[in-house]
Amino acid sequence: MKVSSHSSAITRVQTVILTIIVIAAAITVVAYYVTLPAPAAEVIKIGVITPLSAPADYISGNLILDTARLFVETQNAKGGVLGKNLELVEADQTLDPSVAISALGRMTLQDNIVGLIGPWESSVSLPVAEATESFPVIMFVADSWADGITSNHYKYVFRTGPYNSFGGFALVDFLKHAGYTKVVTFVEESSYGIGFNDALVQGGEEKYPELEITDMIIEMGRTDFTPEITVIQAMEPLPDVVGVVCNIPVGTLIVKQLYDYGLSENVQVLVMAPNVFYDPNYWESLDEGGVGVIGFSYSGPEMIVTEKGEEFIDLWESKYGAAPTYYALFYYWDSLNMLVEAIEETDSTDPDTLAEYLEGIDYLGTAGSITYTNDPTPGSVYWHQWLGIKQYIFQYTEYGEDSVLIYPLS
Amino acid sequence: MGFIFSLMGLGLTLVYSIMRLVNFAYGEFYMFGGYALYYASSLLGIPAILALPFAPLTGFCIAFVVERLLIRDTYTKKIERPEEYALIITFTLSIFFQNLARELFGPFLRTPSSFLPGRVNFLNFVITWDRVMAVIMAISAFALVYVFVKKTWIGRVWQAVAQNRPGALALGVNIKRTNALAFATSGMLASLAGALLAPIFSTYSSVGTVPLIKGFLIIVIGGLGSIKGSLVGGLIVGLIDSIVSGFISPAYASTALYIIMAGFLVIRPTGLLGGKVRRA
Repeated sequence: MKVSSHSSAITRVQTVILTIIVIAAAITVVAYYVTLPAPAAEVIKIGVITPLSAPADYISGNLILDTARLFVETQNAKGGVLGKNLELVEADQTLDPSVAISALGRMTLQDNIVGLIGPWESSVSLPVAEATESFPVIMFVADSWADGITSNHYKYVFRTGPYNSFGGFALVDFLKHAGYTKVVTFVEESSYGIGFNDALVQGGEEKYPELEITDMIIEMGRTDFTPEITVIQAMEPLPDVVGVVCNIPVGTLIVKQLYDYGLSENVQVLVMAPNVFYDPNYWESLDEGGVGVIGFSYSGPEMIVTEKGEEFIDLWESKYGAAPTYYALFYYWDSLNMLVEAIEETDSTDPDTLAEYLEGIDYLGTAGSITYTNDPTPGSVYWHQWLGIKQYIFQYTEYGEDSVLIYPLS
Repeated sequence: MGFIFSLMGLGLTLVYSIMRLVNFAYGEFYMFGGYALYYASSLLGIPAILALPFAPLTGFCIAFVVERLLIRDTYTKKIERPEEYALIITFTLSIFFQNLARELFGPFLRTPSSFLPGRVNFLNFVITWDRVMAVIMAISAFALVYVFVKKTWIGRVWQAVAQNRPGALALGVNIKRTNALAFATSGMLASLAGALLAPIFSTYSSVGTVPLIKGFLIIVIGGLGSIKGSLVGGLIVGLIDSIVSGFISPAYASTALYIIMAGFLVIRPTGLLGGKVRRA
C-alpha cells in the first residue's frame, strides 16, 4: 500500500497553497502599512537627494547639502514654517538614477517631504524630474543643465539656474569675440556633457559658422587622458582652444594633464564646468597648470548681492569659515526660501497648490528678482525656467590669485 | 602605466597564490598610498620623493591589521566557504574604506607635489619626469619582490605554500605568519603604486577602483599565481590600452581589454604564464 506517498502528495499541495496564502498575506500587510496615511506631522520635511559619493561629484553635492542644512537651521531659529520645525531628509543620488528615484519614492511616500533640492548631474536630475510625475513633490534644480529638465514640462519641477542651450549659445559669443575658430572638446559622457557640447555646436552653426568643433567623448571615472592629448598634439594646426566639458574630478585631471604634457602652453584651455574652475582646491590640484585657464560662471562682478545675499554669505561664513564660492548655492538658498514662502502664503503643502503659486512668484532673492517663465509650447525650455542668469568669462592670470573677468567687460 | 599597474597585479597574485583568496579591498590600499604620500609630504614639509617610503609602510601596516582582524578566520577556523567569506568581507571593507577616507580626508582631490618637476622630450613625445620616475620605481619594486620571492627564505616558504599548502604545513611552516606577511606585502605594493601615481592623477576616496579592475585584468591575462605573468600582463594591458586608444578610440580601450580578458578565461583560463591550481 502506498499510503505514505499518497499522503505526501496531498501534503505537497497543501504546502504550496499555504505558501501562496502566506505570501499574499505578507504582501497585503506590507502594502497596507506602506500606504497608511502618515500621522499629522509635527515637522515639515524637505528632501535633499544629491551626490555624496564618487564617482558622482560629491564635492558639489556636499556643498548643496551644507546649504540645505544651514537653511533648515536658520529657518528653525526663526520659528520654522507654519509653526512647525523643518527637518531635512538626505539621500545620496549616486550616479544611478534608479537609486535616486528610489530615494524620491521613499521620501515622498514615507517621509512626506514637501520639497526637494539637490539632484545634480543631469543624468540623474532628468530621471528624477520625470519621476516627480509619479511621486508629486516640488523639485528645484539650480545647476543641472540638461534642457529636458524644463523642456519636458514637468508639473512640479522648477529651474533656478542655467541650462545647456543657454550656456552653449552664450559661450559662442565669447569664442567669436576672442577670434577662436578651432576648438577641441573633452566631453563628459552624460546628458550635461553631450547636451552642452551639442548646444555649443548648434550655437556655432547659428551665430559663428567659422567655428569648428571636434569632440572627444570621455566616459566618467577615467583618469588617464594620454591618448586624447597625443591626438591633439598631432593636429596640424593645433586647435585654438581645448574645452573641458567634464565635471570634477575628471575635468581637473584633464586640465592637469594638458599642462603636464605641455599642451596648455600652446593652446588655450577653457573649462566649461564651473565646479572645476571654482574648486576650492583649484591651486592645490593644478599648481602652475591652473594659470591661464579660462572658465565661466553665472555670477559676475555686477551680480547684485541683495540684503538676502549678504545675509546668506554671513551665515555661511559663520558656520563654515569662508564665503560660499559656488554660485548655485545662492540659487538653492533662494529656492528653499521660495518654497517656504509658497507654503506660508498658501497655507498648504499640497504640491499642486505650491506649483501654482511658484509659477506666479516674484521673489527678491540673493542676487535679484526671480520669476519663472511658463511657455506651454511643447518642447520649449522656457517652462518653469528662470531667465535672470548671465554668463561671465573669467581667467586665472596669476598663480594663487582669484580669477579676473575678461568678458563681457561692459 | 602598464608597469605600475603590474604592481597591482603582483599584489593580487601574491595573495591569491598563498592565501587562495581574492581581495576586493585591494584598490583601497592603492588609495591609502596616495593619501599617505600627500599627508606625509605636506605635514612633515618634506619633498614627495622623501615622503614616498611612508606610503608602502602605511599599506603594509593597514593590510597587516586587516589580515589579523578579518582574514585570519578564513584559514584558522572552520568557516564554511572561506573563499566566499573573504570575497564578501573584502568587498564590504572596500566600501567602508572609501567612506572612511571621505570622512577623514574630505571629498576633495589631494595632489602631492611632484617627485621631480619638469618634462622630458623622448622621441618627440613629451612626458613628465613624474611618469618616468614612477616607471623606474615600479620596475625596481617589481625586481625587488621577484628577488625576494626567489632568493630569500620567506620567499621560498611562500612558494612552498603556493605549491602545496598541506605539504608546507607538514614541514612546520607557520601559516599565520606566512599569510600575514603575504597579505601585508600585497598591501604595501598597492600603496606604493598609489603613491607613485598620486602626483600624476591625484588621489581621492574612490581612486582605487580602476586600478583594482586593471589588476584583475592583468592577472587573468598574465596568469594567476605568476609573478612574471603579472609583469607580462601589465605590459600587455598597457599596450592594448594605448593601441586601441590611439588607433581606434579611447572609448573602446576598456571594452577591448574586457573582451580579451573574457577570451583568456574561455580559451586559456590559467593566463599566459600561470599554472594549473593543485588543490589538496
